[in-house]
Amino acid sequence: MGDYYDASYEIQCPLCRGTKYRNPQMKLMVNVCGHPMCDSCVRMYFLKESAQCPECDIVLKRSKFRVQVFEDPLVEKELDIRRKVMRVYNMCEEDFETLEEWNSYLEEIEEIVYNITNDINRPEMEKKMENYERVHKSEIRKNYAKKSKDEEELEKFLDQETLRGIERQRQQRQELVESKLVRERNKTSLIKDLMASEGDASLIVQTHADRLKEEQKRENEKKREQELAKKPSEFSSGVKIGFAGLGSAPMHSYKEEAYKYEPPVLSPTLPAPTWEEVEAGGYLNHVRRASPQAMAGGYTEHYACLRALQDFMSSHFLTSH
Amino acid sequence: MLLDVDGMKVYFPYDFIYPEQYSYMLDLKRALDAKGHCLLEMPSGTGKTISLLSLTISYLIAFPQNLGKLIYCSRTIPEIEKVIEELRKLKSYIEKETGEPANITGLALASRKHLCINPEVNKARDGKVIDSGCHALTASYVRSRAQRDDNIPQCDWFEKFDLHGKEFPLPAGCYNLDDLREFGSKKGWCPYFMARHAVLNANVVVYSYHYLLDPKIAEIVSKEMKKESCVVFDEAHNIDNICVDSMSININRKILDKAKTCVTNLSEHIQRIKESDSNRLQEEYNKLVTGLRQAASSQDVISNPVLPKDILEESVPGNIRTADFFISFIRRLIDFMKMRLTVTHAVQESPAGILKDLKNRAFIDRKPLRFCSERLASIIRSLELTDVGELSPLVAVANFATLISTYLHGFSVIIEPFEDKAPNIPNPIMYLRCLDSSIAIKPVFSKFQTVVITSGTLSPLDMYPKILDFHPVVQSSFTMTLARPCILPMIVTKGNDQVSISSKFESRDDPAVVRNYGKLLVEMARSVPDGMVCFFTSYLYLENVVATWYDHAIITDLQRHKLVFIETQDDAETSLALINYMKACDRGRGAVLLAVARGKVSEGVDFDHHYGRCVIMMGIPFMYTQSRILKARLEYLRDQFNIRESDFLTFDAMRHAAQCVGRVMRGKTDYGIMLFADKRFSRADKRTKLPRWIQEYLLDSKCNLSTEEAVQITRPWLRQMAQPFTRDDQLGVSLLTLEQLNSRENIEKAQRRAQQTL
Repeated sequence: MGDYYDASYEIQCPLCRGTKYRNPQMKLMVNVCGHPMCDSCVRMYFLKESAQCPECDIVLKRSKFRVQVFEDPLVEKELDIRRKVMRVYNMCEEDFETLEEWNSYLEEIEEIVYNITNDINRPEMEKKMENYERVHKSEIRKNYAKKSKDEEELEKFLDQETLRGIERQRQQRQELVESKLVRERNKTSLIKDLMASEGDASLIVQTHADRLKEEQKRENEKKREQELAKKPSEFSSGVKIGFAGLGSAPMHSYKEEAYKYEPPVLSPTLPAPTWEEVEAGGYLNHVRRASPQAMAGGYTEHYACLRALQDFMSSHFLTSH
Repeated sequence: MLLDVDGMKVYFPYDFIYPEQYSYMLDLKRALDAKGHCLLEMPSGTGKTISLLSLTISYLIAFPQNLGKLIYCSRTIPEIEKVIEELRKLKSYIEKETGEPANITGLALASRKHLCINPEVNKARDGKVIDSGCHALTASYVRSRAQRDDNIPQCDWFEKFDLHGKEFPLPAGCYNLDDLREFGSKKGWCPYFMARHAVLNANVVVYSYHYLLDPKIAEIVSKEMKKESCVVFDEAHNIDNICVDSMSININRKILDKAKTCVTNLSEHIQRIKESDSNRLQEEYNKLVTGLRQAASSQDVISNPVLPKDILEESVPGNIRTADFFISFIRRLIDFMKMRLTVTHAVQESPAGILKDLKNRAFIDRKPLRFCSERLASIIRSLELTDVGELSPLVAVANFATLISTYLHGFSVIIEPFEDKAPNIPNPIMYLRCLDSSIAIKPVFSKFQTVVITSGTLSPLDMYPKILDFHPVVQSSFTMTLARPCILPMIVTKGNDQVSISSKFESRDDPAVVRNYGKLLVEMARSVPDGMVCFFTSYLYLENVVATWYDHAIITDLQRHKLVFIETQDDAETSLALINYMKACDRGRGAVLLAVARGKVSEGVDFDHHYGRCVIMMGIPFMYTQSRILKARLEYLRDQFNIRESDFLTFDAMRHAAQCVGRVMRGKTDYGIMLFADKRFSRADKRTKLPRWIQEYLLDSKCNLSTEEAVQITRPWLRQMAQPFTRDDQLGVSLLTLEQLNSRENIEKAQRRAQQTL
């Protein structure tokens, strides 16, 4: 596994001590009290419809068990309670006149959820909820299907996004097809022209190339126009961009006459050392000494040395003139 | 010398000036006059830094009402120090010229890691540990507690600075990091806080990009800078990536688990506080009701990612005001993220999708999420926690929440079950990626009147205004005036056997291609003296190629001519290789460095003179196109800015290629070969994206060479360049004296070279 370690493998069923590592199919289930147990334990334990929770002795119904989505059972329990509370307290920000009221409303919800979860004043909180439900019955029903402004915005955004994605795919496909078509058309038209006309072949090729260039130019211009359409027209200093708002300044291009470099005239002859210099200058230090047999034939190491030097230098002395 | 730029007196500390430096100053002056932003490309080694400093400082002196401050952003600490040294030179020149002490204060600013002089704190080597160590001694509540209780340690340097240092401005002068530390220890003041305080009044501030671009840091350091400032981003060719990275957060299982532990600790802490001192929490609660701005004290510990102004004025939503409720809120959030992390295949979702899911499954609204990081900072303050380093996973989660709920546009959430490197081991990561580089830099453009983006390689210039979404008043690209053709760019498209060479995916592992690359390297190593650098497109490709070369005995061939060094992903290993490479070059043995484009060597290591006589770019360094993060960004660029995918990919690849080959030329007396070894480089769409100063020397006749032809061109050129070259040879052409500069002909030329004013 390398140094990778996943804490989710350590999750253990408190009843049978099975872990996710040993049984990857294991699923933890929770009920209203928030104490988890694995699915096989639920089946074993709840042969009858209801039984007591082994941890807190509350009577639980089997049908109320559901798969634990979140890792922390406490969070799972809180969310369970929150779901119930939110069904009653379902107003949104727009229903309140001031921000203050909305904030204190939110705080009230939070307090109820927190207290029920942690068993502080539970009956009192439940009573408070019931009261609220009685008083605001009609509003609760009205708000049931309503969405807050925030949610609506999100939804709209998501819709736009999918639309954009579809549009993008369509465009890409279209571009691909078009470019293929254009390429094909250019090729065939050139061949047709060459085949049918009597004129100079090079001329035909030339006009063809010109036409292609023209098309390319038109394409580029179209692209630029598209870009211009969405650009703002002011600098941060408040000055209008470009000339009378016609777009940004043209890219600066200026061709100046380049300085003429004259390469130094280098001697075309080899500055090769003379026979004596080869000896005195230490050139021979790194050349293998000639054997007596070779010396007898008239060879000395000078030859090898001079030859190597010439080899090396010759390429460097190759000039164009 | 004293120059006259567009009617303004400019102090320039050298006796000679390059013509393009003069043109550069002209353009910069116009941008400053117009109070707009500008984009300038000038080859490296032509004195960008000093031109910039000379002009802006002279502008500061001439028009103090129009320009108050120069903020110079650079990438690395050595570069920052270099800028300060140049400034020092300039200052002493101005003093010599005017005969009175110049009232210029310039200083470098870096993190506590570089500036802390408290031996107890800075003995830790890690930046984060030092930060939290400092915080544990200097946070306002720690200090107030220490006043009551003598046993609680304090930082003497900070205390002394707080007592005396704030009234006295830093004496005029130039301070690099060493100077600041020295000054601090002499006075007994904390150099870090002294520098941060001095930044407000200094004329020149030099620091890293992050102090402006990273919203978390910018809020603390750069908030009080005035509008009448000029911001310079040097070496800014990668600025869009830095912007994007500064707004992105990665979260994995480990971070979430740690965050969970943090939450548990926090809630225990809250219970303890409740029993001992319940007033404190009540006080915090009252503050939160009145609004976030008032709640934040002057000394922020952890600041939030960019929040719109109106949010900060608003009061915190009711459901996260009380500490207990906030804890349960964040617990839900963490568990939700854990749940989302368990995926079996990659998922890409927009922030809106995640928000909707959060609402449905965890009953978390968008609004409290936006306040999440501010609320966390507030609770840390009220609990008087000292070990901020410990809490960093929780802070990451809170930042994630704030970012995702603040920006619906320009962000994307990508959840991947596997890492790229190990595609079989489940290690899910949730990436919150910013796709729009203009989001992070927008505050900078709107806050400061002039922003200068400059580098040696910014081509093609028109891409940057698009992706950063701004409108430069001046954009130009300068070439290098040279007295001899001292760069030799060539494109090699085929080997001696006429097989075309290319690093494209289909052919990169073809043995013929790999062998041809090897032959090219050996042939060049045979003819080029001293150092050579060879860039590959990725570490993986480098390893594969070298392995093949080893099998084919190409490495042995190569070693006959030069020593071979290889860059690896390990930093220490690479710097060791670099040191030995330099040593081999100094000794005259000659060496080849095999490096990777986008690696450490390709950014920020210079191969001047004999350290680099030849750079070979083996293939085009495209990004890894299969990455989901890149795909998301490309899609966004297409939708928002109308930039085609292939255009952006080529742009990015070519700027990296230019950056790599640009390493070899670091001045006008230098010379070097730039070899592009890929068939695709010869296409017009790639070639035209190279910087102008390279393109000018890239003749058509050198665009389609074989290995042999390249060697044949190289040899006579090398001999020519090796001839003695003195200043007199340059004078009048690429180097000007004051008289020469003032000649009518030269002024006209410079005017024309700079952008035309119509």
